[in-house]
Amino acid sequence: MSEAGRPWATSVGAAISARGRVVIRSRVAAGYALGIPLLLITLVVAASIGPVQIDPRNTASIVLNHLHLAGLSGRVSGAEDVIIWQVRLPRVLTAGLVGATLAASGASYQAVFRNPLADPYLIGVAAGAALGATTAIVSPLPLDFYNFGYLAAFAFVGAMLAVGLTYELARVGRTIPPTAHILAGVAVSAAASAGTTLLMMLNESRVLVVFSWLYGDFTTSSWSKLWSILPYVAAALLVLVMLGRRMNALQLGEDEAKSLGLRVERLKAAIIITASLATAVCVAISGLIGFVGLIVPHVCRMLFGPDHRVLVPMSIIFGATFLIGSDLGARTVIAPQEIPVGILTAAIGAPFFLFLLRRQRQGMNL
Amino acid sequence: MLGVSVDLGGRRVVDDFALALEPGDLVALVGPNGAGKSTALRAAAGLVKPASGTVKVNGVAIGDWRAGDLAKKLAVVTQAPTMPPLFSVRAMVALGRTPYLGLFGHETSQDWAIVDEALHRAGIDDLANRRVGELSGGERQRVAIARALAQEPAVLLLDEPTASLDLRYQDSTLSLLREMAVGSGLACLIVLHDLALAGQFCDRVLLMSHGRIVAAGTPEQVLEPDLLAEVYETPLRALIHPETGRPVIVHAGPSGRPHDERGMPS
Amino acid sequence: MRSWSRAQRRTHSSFLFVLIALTSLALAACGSGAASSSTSSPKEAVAVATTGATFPLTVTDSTNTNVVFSKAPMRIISYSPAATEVLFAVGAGSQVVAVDKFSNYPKDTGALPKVEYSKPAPEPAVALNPDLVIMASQQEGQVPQFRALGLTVLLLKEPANLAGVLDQVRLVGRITGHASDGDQLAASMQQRIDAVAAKVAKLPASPAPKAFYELTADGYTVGPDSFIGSLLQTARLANVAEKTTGAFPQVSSEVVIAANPDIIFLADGMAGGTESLATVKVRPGWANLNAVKNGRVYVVDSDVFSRPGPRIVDALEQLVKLSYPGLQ
Repeated sequence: MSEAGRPWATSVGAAISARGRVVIRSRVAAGYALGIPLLLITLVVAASIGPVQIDPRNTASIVLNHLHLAGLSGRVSGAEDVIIWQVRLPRVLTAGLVGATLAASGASYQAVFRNPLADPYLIGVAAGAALGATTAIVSPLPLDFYNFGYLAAFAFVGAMLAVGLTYELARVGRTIPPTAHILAGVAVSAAASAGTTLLMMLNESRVLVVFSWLYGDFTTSSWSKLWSILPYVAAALLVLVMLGRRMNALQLGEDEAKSLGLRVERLKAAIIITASLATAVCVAISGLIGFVGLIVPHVCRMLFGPDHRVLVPMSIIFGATFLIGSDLGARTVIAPQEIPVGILTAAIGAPFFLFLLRRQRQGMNL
Repeated sequence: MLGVSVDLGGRRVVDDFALALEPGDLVALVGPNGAGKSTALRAAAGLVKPASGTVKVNGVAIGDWRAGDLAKKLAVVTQAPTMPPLFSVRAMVALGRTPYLGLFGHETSQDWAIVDEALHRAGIDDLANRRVGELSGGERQRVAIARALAQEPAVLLLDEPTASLDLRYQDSTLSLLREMAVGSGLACLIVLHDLALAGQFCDRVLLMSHGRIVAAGTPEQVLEPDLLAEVYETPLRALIHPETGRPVIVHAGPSGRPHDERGMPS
Repeated sequence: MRSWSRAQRRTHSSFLFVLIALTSLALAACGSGAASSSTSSPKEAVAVATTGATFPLTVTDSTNTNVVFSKAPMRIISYSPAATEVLFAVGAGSQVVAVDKFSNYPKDTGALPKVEYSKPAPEPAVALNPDLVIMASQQEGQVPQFRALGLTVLLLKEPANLAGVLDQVRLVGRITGHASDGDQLAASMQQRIDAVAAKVAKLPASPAPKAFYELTADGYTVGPDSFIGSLLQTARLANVAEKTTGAFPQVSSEVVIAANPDIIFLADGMAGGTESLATVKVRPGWANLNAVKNGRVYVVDSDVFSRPGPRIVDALEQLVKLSYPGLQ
């Protein structure tokens, strides 16, 4: 979110003054100039609109009041105050954070695996988290949807175990060939999904709860959950942004990257672990929201080029915007009823994914 | 490099390889397919660990070097370099500055100056803003060379850098390396297929066969037709170049012997 | 790169497949023997036997198939917890040889062999040699398969309203040879329903109390189209989710907070949850709801509430009792 802005101002400035690169750089500058305000506007709009109609002036008053910047306007009712501050605002901010993380992780995975079709769920995070969450749901443990309780913890552990297992399976001595890693991810995901399905069949009464978690939603967002994940996610995003240039070098292949002085295996591990951790934490609180990690980096790459020093921050900005927008759709399209946000991102993402596959087949190697 | 042997897939691919590379050396590594040239080069670059023997750069074993510092001394141009198609040529060459960049990885104006210089030396100024995916094989090879130059190495290891280049660029590339060897003391080890090029441009030639060095010395000493005919298993002749006096190796006419008669494809 | 796209495509397709598979499972289980049934038109409801109260009987079930009964079936398998309760309530318990695994009332069902509830395989049924198989909405997809194996299947979809429940009670009574018990039971149920209606009619004309009927802690509730939704209406309660469509919509906390319900019914038990006043109180923004402030958060027995069988009147009475404590 906010950390995207600063280090890049200098690079953009220096870049614009260099010769011969004006076309791409001005696009990047335009990207920041439009992207950041767009994100903020989307945030504000999403906080102002919902299944319950609230006068935007009241919304503003509530927010300012809680930030100790102004007194509360007399027109604001208790319910409105609660809705905006306790329900909507954490929800919108969580959606933004999760969107940014999924997109940045997707971009990072695409860099490490040198495969534009990689997404953050590639090496087991999704299936592992699903298995973990389902285990928690069918167990007698209290679920506590509004805090980072057992449900989230189990999901997180499941995700990281799956990532670890995939890593071990793919390992050859101390190196991990990317193809082997992907295939191991497929295997682990399939096994975990089978386990999840089995648990569901043995506990049919719980299926509704599992189903709702799987498709992902921000319905039970709270400040508590947001603060639980914020430090980890912010740190992870910062690391991924900093590793941007090395991600560029990774694109040359392992040998070339090594000869450029990078410790390739360590770098890959660092990127994968950071991205996986951040994704797992987000999945733990919001379920499986697909396609964000795939589409957003792609669109950013098409618009702003393959330089990861630009791609990762842009993915953060546009990922956040995309998911905040999708969540807004999820709660307003058939208000007062909610659609799980994962369905919306899939509805937008699946056709887009097919479109991308077609483009790739037509030889436009993305 | 001393007594270096490399095993790959259970086979001894390189056996007891030894080479001392001094500043200003321009050494060609030649030999038939499968002789182990590329592997020897990769061992020199530290990309593959030898089963025995040592590789040292500036007296320090290659395994003891910090990766970043080593990259400032040693650069490698591999045989068919992978190039992500969407990057611009300039960005590709700029990647050569990686070992010199700090944490956030931003090039200074000095870095860009070095990049531009490398582009110029490799003769690809006009390609600077094009996307790598649009280039021909030969152009991409020159981009790879430019990137290696941007690394400002003391030692340059090249694996068949001229394979896709036409006559003009063969000349300009090797001449450039010669000039840098003589002028800035760059040391080069070049794997070459083309014996004529090896003979014309390099001061020393190492001939490998079946993983071993079978001859080392000046082009006149090594490019000896009978020895070569034995190593390459095909009859050859040496002609003397009218201006440089160096040997140029050519086939002794079509041998009329297809693969099966020799028991092994050539 | 080609082979990676294939591997990657496989990952995606397996991911999508899992999602689809899980969705269908979930949608399937959404019925769980309960009042899931959507808005089916009254014409789909079971037609009571037209040839009187004695055998032979012809019944048109929810698949519009005519099933002929020449005598009372003695080996019945019930795949619907609601139908099980009806069978036992009309005195046909001894004619039941097996029930689905969710049929847990009355206690006599404990001793009976159990069959699968969702997507049941026909083999265990065939092995039991039944002369009648009763299925509900949940097993609708299996009906053709069971019939193809020669089994007599009666599909009784969940009725849309209380009158439909009574019809089914009478029907089951007739086909099992307990016509008079069935009619009596239906009559007594009708009496109780009428009594409730009379009570509720005595309420002052003030706006109906707002109720939130919770199925899961993340906002799943009952819509006006569902059976429970219609119960809430009968009890003269305003459903917080009244503007939604479908049987089990999800609503955001916002909606609940804005509606400020006077009563909250917790039926999380249906999905195995364990919510209570204590857990509801600590949800962000819920503490100030009327229902929470006044302690009017009640855990209800989801089995009783979700099965359109003889105990549904218990559910209705409980709703009224909890909602209007002072009403006589």
